[in-house]
Amino acid sequence: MSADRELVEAVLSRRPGAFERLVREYQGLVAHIVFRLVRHADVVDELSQDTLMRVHRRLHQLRFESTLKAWIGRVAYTIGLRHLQKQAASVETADDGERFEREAADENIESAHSAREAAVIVREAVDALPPLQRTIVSLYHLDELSIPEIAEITGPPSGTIKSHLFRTRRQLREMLEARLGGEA
Amino acid sequence: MSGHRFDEDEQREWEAQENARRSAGDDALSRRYRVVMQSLETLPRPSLRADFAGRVVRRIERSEEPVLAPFERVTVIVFAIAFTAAAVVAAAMTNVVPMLETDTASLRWLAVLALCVAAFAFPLRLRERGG
Repeated sequence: MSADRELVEAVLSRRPGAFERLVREYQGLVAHIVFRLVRHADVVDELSQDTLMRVHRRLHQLRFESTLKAWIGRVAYTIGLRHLQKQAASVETADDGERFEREAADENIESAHSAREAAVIVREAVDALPPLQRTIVSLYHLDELSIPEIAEITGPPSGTIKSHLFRTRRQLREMLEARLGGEA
Repeated sequence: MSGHRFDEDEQREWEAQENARRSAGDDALSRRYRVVMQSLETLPRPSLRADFAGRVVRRIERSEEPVLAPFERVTVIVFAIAFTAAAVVAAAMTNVVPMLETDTASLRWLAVLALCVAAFAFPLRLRERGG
């Protein structure tokens, strides 16, 4: 039996400490997904708690058609997205794309000569991406999730995820090169 | 894998992106992606407050409603019906309970209603207290 199944069975049979172990294992991923979507550190704790509460309530519904990690990630993504919608933040609108371009252009180009400054520019550009794109990029690069896992978490098929990832990284490269001059 | 299909140039560029990510590949395109990939690795991660897991577990414990097993539920209902029947009898025979010694029928029925509510609530309160 896989470690995930054992953990889930332990939680469902109310073994002491089992759910706390699950939380410790996945709290980083949950917080990361929520943070990347809502972009406000002050609500990450609360929304991460809401996510894990829902995981606890619905764990009996898990059929292991996906990994536990992807299933929990999906719950976090849904909660983060719902929070964004409640705040009337536009999801997948042209505005976000425009902001990506605008913020990139507003950055102080002259000071962007080191890797650290490039990192700041990239971070701001990622923050300005639409929610789906910024989630894809950071899950792929920071959590090292595979494209199929990201597809399970966010919903679109793997081909679409790969395409978003490709275009976003190309966009970032072009932006950096334009601002740092020549090859970044 | 459905969605957009990569043409040859895009596929080559995708491979350059992946090479740059793994710090592999020394072709020009991979080198051009290296700073982007290094920058992406440094994206900030959120930090949760101390003892996050413990707080989640305590919140779950607080929120969990006491759930009655089917047998317990049936027992509660049987007790409640018996209690209600007794209350109705008591109300009908007004001499049993002094407060029910009244000529007003509506007051008597009000008292019966209160007793019924108490009859249903009492076993549940007992269960919540672990009784």
